[in-house]
Amino acid sequence: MFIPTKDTRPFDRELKFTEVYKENLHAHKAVREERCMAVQLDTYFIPPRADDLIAGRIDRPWVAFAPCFEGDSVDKVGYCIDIAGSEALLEDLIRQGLDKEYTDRVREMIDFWKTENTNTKIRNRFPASWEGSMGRDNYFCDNAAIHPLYRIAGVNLDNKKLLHLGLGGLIREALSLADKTTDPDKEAFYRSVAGALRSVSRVLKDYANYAKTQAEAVPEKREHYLAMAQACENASEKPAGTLREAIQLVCVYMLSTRAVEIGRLDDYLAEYYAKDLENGTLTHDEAVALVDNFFTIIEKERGRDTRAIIGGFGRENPEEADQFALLVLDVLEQRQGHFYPQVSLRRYNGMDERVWTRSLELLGTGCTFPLLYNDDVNVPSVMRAMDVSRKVAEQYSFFGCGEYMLATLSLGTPNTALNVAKVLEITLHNGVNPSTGAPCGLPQEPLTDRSTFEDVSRAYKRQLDFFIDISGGFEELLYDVCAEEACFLLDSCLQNCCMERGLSMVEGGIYHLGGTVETYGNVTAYDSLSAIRDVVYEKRAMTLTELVKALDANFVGYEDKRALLLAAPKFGNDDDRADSIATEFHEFICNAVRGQRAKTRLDSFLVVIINNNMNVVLGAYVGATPDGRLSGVFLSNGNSPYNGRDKQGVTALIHSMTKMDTSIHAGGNQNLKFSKGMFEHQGAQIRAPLQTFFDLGGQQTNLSVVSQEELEDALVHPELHENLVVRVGGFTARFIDLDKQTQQDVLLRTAY
Amino acid sequence: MPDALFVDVQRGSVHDGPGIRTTFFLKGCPLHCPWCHNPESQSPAVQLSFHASRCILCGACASVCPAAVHRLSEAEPRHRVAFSSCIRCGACVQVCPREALKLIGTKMDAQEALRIALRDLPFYRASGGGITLSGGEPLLWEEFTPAFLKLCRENRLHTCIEMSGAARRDVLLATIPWCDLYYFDWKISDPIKLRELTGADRTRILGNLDALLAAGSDVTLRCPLIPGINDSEDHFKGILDVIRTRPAIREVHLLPYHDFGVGKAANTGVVQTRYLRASREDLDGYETWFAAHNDTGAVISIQK
Repeated sequence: MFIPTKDTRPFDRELKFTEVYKENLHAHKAVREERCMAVQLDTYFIPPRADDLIAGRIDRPWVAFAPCFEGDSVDKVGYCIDIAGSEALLEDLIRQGLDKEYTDRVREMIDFWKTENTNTKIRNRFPASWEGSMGRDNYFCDNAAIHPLYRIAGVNLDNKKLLHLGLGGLIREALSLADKTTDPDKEAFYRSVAGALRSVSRVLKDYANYAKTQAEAVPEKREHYLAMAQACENASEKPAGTLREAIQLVCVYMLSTRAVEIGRLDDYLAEYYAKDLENGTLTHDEAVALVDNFFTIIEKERGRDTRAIIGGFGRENPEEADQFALLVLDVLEQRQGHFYPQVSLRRYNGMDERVWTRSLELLGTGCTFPLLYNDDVNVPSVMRAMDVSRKVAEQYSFFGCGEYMLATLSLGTPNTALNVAKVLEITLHNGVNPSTGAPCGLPQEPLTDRSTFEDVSRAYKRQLDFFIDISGGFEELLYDVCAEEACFLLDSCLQNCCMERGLSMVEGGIYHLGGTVETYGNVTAYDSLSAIRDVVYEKRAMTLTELVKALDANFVGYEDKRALLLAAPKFGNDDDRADSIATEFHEFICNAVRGQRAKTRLDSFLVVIINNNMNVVLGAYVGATPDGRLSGVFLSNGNSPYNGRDKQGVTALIHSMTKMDTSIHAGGNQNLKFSKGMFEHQGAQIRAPLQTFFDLGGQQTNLSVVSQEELEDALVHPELHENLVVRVGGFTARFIDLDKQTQQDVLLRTAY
Repeated sequence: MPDALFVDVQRGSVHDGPGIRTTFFLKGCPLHCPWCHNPESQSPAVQLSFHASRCILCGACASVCPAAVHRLSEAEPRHRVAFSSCIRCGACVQVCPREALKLIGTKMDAQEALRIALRDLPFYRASGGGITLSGGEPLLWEEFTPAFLKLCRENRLHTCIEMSGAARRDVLLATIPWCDLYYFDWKISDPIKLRELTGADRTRILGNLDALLAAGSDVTLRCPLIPGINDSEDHFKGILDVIRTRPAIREVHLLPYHDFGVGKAANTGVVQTRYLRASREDLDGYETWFAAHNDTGAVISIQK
């Protein structure tokens, strides 16, 4: 455990880690990683907070080994250094009088890692053909259509195996496999797995000792610390026996390997809860407190986009699991206002009615969670998208912003962000990025006023293909370099079938090596194509060249033309003129990405169309688009209509959204918004649109109850909220159609 | 195929009858209730509407208008619209970059309307919903309304009409075989005040109501409550009188006034009076009064 003394200096941990790395520079990659992890884990955990029931807090170093590590505002993979952070701290220390010898050692260390970190090694291997097209690492301030994302994100650990075997059992398994194999690489892998597991075990033993000491030192909290000590002691070696031990073990293990995903906890924790209840050793409220503390720790220490999943097909004991799901919903109710973990419900027709009712009840109160996933659609979709059996597909999971993968069976990390609206901009500018004036993408036959709509479509598809090839190429390159550098021991040993095969998850050990690409601005691009077809080719109100001029001028001087483009059919209104283009290009993009499995060693490579703020960040680098969107304004969000452009009510919206094929990608987020009044007064009626959404093939929805803030924003930016429907005195109305005074009134009323 | 002029079609509507519905708002009304929440539906003709807060004073409308309807100046209001000169050519609507201008009133025939209605069939099935004709006064469209309802019923859709009560009897009777539910307005019990404020004839309304009930139709009475106009005990007693002698009416909806209409009327160049809205205490008061005095079998509820 890391407890700084007066002699501890700020970079001691990083220097020690670096020293061990250098000593083992030429050792087997597994051995090097195991030894580095030993330093890292010994100096990474800090004492629990006074009110923690579960031990597990961390103090993150500047240099680390991890599948995903944040620093310099970007993600890192493998051996990582936060250069900007460590340099800033060093400068600060120098000003405070840090001695020269230590300063030099730290400087040298930082310089060493500048070239030795895994991100840089990956970037150095980019092929020449990507030059000019592949963006820089800092996507948030770089004008390009595609950006690399360095990480292995979203690993769902096999927590069931962890809990059933315990650390001792896992170590014995690794050692016995090591004894049996004749392959020296495999032997190194197995022995290093055992070594890394011993480091985790040591963390728990440290915590047990710490808690015992505290029990003596703080008599009024004796019981509290003794319980913690016992759980840590047992979890350091044995299979989990109680819910507390199970959570303790999972928590420390997740933090050790910097795993983010809580995953299907109702599947792997339910049996312990059931047993504790039966034995009378735990009450419902005590269980709520334990899970709540677990969530708090993961949120605080490793919070990023973490998911906790309940419900769904493929759980070992659905009855016990549903009981646990109800517990999780109780925890959720207590945690209103916390954003992580993002509790997500996998629902299906015939599921436990209590879990469904309770979820809707929480959503109705304005709670953002649970996010809803439709297993009736998702399981068959995953079967097709990833070419797997139903049994395997039932283990689908999703992480972060909603990327699907197979829990404990696959990797599905998204490693490129592809801005398809930007690709359209480049296409309309004949293979030039208009913001930089430099060639970008595929050299292209110029589009002219003689070009047909089919010519525009074809040119766009060619450019998309080009960028999608980069995407697949990068995913494979990242896995290749990671496999050369390390074994990701703590992740690999809890992924099928790494132990059987004696291979790490990135070099062929995992059952299904998947990958994903985050696409942004999809609906903006589809709406733009619909507007081009309508205004340029059907109404013939402007030529293609004139359109591009108008875009370059950000519509200044072309207001009338912009009005026509804005009025053109848009996705989300159950209007086939727009929806048919959306589905055509949705299918093209998804299938082109999916086709990468034939061009790479990936078992699957799929699009994810997700919600986060990247549609805003990347929108800043896309000029005006033919859908009438102005330059720099945010792009469409997820696979939902552009803000406020769905004007035909929720039923039309649902019809449009369910036209998109769900079986060719790895997740598309769709938003459904209801006003609070609908939930409060129309409890039964809210079920009908949702049920119909799911029956029509809706895959997932972020269902939100319109908040006060949103209504206030609608006052300021009415054009973004054309879809907002409110209920006043027995009538429904579009919020923006009301006059100011009524709007104010509606605002005041919803505050009740 | 008969057609009608529509103000709007609202899909996914949940307050105009049971379940999830598609509500068709038809244009034109024989009454002129000064509190009307859909004042843009009163005139049976196409109308220009101008949403001033969206206008960016670009002048595109003025430059294309053949009738000099739009005048832009430095003085407030900076964009003046001469609604009475408008020839409804729609040229300004086409060029307005902010959708500040639109023409209210779209023609559609019953077959087209049915196509829209059928799109949401799965939602009606899941919720027990259907279609609702509203307005305006849907019964003003003497050919369209019965024909459309018939088409809907042939397609097994639940049908509902929201009506003012002041319709022609023969048109009303023509709908009876095809309409599942009537939302029937009862605005003011006092016949003189009713005529004065809305232009409606109480005798005709009661006659229509009785005709529906005699035919065994399902009728819900809907009573808008406007403070200072009809929130008096006399009117409340009047409501009870109406239903006491008509036990087939099982439900009464009290609809508290809201001022949606004011802004929408202004957009079409009409100044509508803004009445006071009932306070929470007022609503509680209505509720208490009816709870104490309702000696009928009907359920009387306030639509908050």
